[in-house]
Amino acid sequence: METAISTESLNFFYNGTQILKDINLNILKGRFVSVVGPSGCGKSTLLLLLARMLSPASGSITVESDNVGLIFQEYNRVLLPWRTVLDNAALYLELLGAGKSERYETIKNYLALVGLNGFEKLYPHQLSGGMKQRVQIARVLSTQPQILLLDEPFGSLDSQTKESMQDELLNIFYKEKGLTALFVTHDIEEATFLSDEVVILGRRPSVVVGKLDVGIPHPRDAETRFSDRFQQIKHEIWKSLRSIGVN
Amino acid sequence: MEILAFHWCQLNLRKSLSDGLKSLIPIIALLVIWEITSRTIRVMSIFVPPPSVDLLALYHGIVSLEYFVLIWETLQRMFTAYFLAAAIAIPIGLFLGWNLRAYKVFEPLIEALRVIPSVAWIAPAIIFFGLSGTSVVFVTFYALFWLFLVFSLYGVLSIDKLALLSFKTVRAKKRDIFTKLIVPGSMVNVAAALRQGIAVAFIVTISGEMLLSVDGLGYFLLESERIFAYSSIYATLILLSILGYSLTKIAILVEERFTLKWAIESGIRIG
Repeated sequence: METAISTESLNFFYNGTQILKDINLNILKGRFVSVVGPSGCGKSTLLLLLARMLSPASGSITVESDNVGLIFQEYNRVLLPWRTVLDNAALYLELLGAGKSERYETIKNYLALVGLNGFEKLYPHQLSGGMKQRVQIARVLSTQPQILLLDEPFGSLDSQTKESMQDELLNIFYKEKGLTALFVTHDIEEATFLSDEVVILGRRPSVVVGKLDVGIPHPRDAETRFSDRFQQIKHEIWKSLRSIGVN
Repeated sequence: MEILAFHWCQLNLRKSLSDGLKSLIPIIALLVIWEITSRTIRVMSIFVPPPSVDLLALYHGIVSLEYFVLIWETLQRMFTAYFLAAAIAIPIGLFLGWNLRAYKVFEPLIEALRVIPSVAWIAPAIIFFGLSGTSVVFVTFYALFWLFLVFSLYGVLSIDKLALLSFKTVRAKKRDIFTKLIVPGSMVNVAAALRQGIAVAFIVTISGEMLLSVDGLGYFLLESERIFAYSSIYATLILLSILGYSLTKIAILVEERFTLKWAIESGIRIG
C-alpha cells in the first residue's frame, strides 16, 4: 500500500527544549491513525509540523499531498464571530479564490454532510460547541483535503456530543473516499473507536513508545464500544501509557 | 389570553412611564434646592443666579438664535477634528498592528508624543495658527489622533493567533488576511474608540475655545464671566449638559450600528 505520511528521525525544539525526539512514522493511505499521549507531550506540534506550519530542527517529513486539512480543538478561536455559519464555513473556499455563488453552492453540500442544514444564517455565538465544531469541519472538508489532521477536535465537548461526533466523523471518513486521517487525542476510548492504528507518544521529549493495530472491522457503531476486542485494545493502550508514567 | 397580554402590556407601559417620571425627581430636586438657596442667600443670587433666571437666559439665547450659532461653531470644529483624526489615525493604527516590525520602530516616538497632554499644545498652536478656530481643531485633533491610533493598534493585536494560523493553512493572500481578518477583527476596538472619541472631542474643543478662539461655546462661557453675565454662564452649562448627553447617546447608537449585532450579543463590546 501507498504511504500518505512518513517522518524520519524527526526532531523539534522550542526555546531550547526538545519537544519531539526521533519520531518515525509511516502512515498508509486511507488509514485512520490516532496519536495518543499525555497532555503537553507535543502531539499538536507534530500536526503543525506535518501541515508545514512549523519547520523541524532535523529529520525529514514526506507528505504525499499538498492538500492537507487541519482541524483545531478550539473552534471558538478559528470561527470568525462576525460571520454567519454560511460565511464561516465558506471561508477557506473564499480564500482559495472561489466566487460567491460557486462557494455557496459547494458549501451547502458540506453543511448538509455535517448536519447543519438550516443553520446557515446563525452566528457562532448562537451555536452549541458541537455545532461550532461542525462548522469548522465543513470548512476544512470543503477544500477536499487528501490528508486530514485533527488536533483533539472533540476535546472540549461533553461526552454525549463527543460520541455522536465520533460516529459522524467515521461516517464522513468512509464516505469521502481516499482520505487519510491523523487524529490527536488523549482519550483512549476515542482513539480505539476511531482508528485503524494507534501511535503512543511518551512525555517530553516525546518519542514513539508504541504502535498498535486496532483491527476492529468497519462499519463500527455504538455496540462496538462494548465488544471484547474493543476493551482489550483500550487495555493495551492504557498499559502502554502507564508504563511511561501516565495515569 | 389576548386580554391578559393586553393587560400586561398596559401595565408595562405604565410601569416604564412611572420609572421615567421617578428618574426626573433628582433633577427637579436639585433645581428646587438651587432655586431656594439662591433666592434666600443674597451673595448666591448674584454669583449663582437661580435656575429660573438661568433658564430664561437660555430661552432668550435660543430664540435669538445666538446659541445656535455658538453650537454650530463648536460642533463644526469638534467634528472636523474627529473625522480628520479617524481618517488618518485608524489606517495607521491598523497598519502598525499588522506590521509589528514597523511598530517597534515607531513605538518610542508614539509613546513620547501621546503622553503630552493635548491642551499643552495650546501654546504652540497659537504660534502656528494664531488665536483661531484652526488652533482649536489642531488641539482636538491631537487628542483624538492618539486615542484612535492606539485603540486600532490594540484591536489588531487582540486578534487570535489561531485564527491567523487557520488562514495560513490555506495559504491565504496577505491582502485577504488584512481585509477579512485584521480589519473586521479590530472593529470592536475601533468602534469603542470612536465612541470615547466623541466625549474627548467635546471636552477638548470646549477647553480649546476658552483660550484660542473668539467664538464657540467655550469662548462664550469665559466671555460671559468677563462681562459679569453670570446667568449666561449657568445657561451655557445647562446647554452643555443637554448637548453632551445627546452626543453621548448618538455615539452609542452609532457604535451599535457599526459593531454589528454579533459583538453586542456575544458580549465582547469594549467599555
